[in-house]
Amino acid sequence: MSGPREGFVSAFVVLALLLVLTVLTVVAAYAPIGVFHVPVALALAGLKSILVVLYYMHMRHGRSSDWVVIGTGLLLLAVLIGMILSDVVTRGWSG
Amino acid sequence: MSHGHKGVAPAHQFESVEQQQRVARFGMWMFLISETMIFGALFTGYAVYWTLYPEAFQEAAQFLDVTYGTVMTVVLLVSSTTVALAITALEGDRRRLAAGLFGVTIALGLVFFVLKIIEYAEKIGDGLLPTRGFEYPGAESADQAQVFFSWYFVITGTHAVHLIVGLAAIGFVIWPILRGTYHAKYFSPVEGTGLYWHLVDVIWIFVFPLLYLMGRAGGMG
Repeated sequence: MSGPREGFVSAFVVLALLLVLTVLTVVAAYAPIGVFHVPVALALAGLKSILVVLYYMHMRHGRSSDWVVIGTGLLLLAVLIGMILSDVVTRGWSG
Repeated sequence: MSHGHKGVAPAHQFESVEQQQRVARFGMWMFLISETMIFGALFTGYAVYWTLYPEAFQEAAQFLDVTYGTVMTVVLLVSSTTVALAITALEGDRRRLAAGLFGVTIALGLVFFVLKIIEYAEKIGDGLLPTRGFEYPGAESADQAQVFFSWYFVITGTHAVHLIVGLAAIGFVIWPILRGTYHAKYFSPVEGTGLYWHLVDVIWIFVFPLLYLMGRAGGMG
């Protein structure tokens, strides 16, 4: 290992971004955006997670084998959530 | 090597310390992604019941405290930053700084945990623990509200267990860092611990809006 992969400054910049996104998350929750609350909340949480994974978890310099693990996991998660919810929301039992 | 750090020689099945660290990192990601699946399943169950009982869940979510949720979010984000800083320090062989930053992480983690206990105590005191003594003040179905609070306690509780494990793991690496067992050229256990702590943070990044901030603007979210 030749020296640090990330500098001290970048950690603080990422923290600042994470805090700004947190404020946006709270503001969006109280904003009158109707059906967009969940998509916006998920998008902001996703953005924060990407920052943490790329910088704090060093995946900016990550190996492709690590990305395969992450990608496979997220794909399976999407299948889990997508197939279960597509079933549940199209049935006549809600409401 | 006649002189240098302890533990620079790789374990016998590896060709180099670099390779050993890459493999450890790969294994850690396998573990972290399976942890993600656990929480993904919990969130899926929560979403299913939200779909089944939208009015009751909408109302019950208003009983969660946004202030606690926001403060806990900020505390965890800062604690992740101190872990990132600690890894940078360790990679530069500034071991005392790294150990100190992990100490700050533990302090922040304990703040989070204490807040969680206070929050739980309030909820239980208000009769919102989904058991025989459940007393729901809302207008919607109390039975359906119990399901919401079950998810609330299960999801935040599972997260809190992970937080405690993360705190213990950090506690176990601080002394070896100071002693020089882990250093700039070999620190896989420290890196794995750091990655785990970041995962605990990422999970909470989703818990916060999906539990604490739901339906705050009124009307269906």
